[in-house]
Amino acid sequence: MADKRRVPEAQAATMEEVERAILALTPDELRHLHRYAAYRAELIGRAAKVHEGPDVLQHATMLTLQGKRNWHKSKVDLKGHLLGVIWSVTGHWAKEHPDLADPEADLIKNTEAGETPSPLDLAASGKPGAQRTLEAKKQVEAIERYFADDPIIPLIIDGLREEMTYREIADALGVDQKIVDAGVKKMHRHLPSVPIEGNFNV
Amino acid sequence: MSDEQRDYEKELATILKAAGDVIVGQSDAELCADLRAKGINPDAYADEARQALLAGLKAHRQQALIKARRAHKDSVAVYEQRKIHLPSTPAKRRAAFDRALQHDPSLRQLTMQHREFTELTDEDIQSYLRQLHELNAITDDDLKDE
Repeated sequence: MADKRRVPEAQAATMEEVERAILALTPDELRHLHRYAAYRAELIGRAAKVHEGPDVLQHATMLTLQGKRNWHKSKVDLKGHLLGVIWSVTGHWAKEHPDLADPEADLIKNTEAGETPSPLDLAASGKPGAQRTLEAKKQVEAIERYFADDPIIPLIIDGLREEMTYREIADALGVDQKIVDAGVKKMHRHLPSVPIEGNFNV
Repeated sequence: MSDEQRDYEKELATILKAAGDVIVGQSDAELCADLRAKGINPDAYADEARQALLAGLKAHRQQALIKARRAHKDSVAVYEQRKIHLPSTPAKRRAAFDRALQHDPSLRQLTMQHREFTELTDEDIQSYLRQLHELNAITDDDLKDE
């Protein structure tokens, strides 16, 4: 995951390098980035209904250029970097602004100093850890209830909980890995429909 | 596993990550097929992503520009608010300015290269006196009322 603290400044990409890399992204990479951002926005934005894929992509770029999420260009390509930023940014939005009502509140409006506040900057209203844990518990339980009757997904979730790979889960279940992969894809498709209060906060 | 032993935040993150990674693991052909099934043009979808990334770049540049302008404005404000005592009347200020130019004719090049001397207003004179003082080309003594 991209983390400014782990990237020595000298190894972080410059604005020109980021621009060149953006222009060099292939349609394939762009589609994946867009779809990933849109999916994350769909998951975390259900209560707020404010963030769409392009908003997330734009913000991820700005955080990178502002040095708030440095791109360690020698270790990961821009697509990989942005996927990490999309994950963490949407996670912060979900945790810190579950009831954000105005899409322009932290995406477009500038502060007087000319900087767009990042979700991290706006974290003062963050929920206490105990409340987050309780919400996570409710959401995990909602997912488990939703897929309870599926023949494979509850077993996959058990395996993920034990930090098993798909291969290990398939071996443990004595099934072909394609069955596990298909279960994960089904989970992917249905997750946005799981009934929960608010939005997924990870 | 009891509730106390379970790390629900980690479990949720793992489930959501696995679901999201389905996209990362998809081939472009699979992703395009999914998009078409939803009535989305894959080429337009890619283009929209590039535009969003470039919009981030543009927004960052605009912010940098706003920041630079603000810094410049602040530095000018600090400079203009610096306390120096200028002669009390326009005529005395003009006289002090003339003396400075006579004392060092090269200043004429700095201050009036694009203007006729007669066009200078009292505000221009005050501004030049402040600048010359800032540059140590004139002293507090030079600005004393006679």
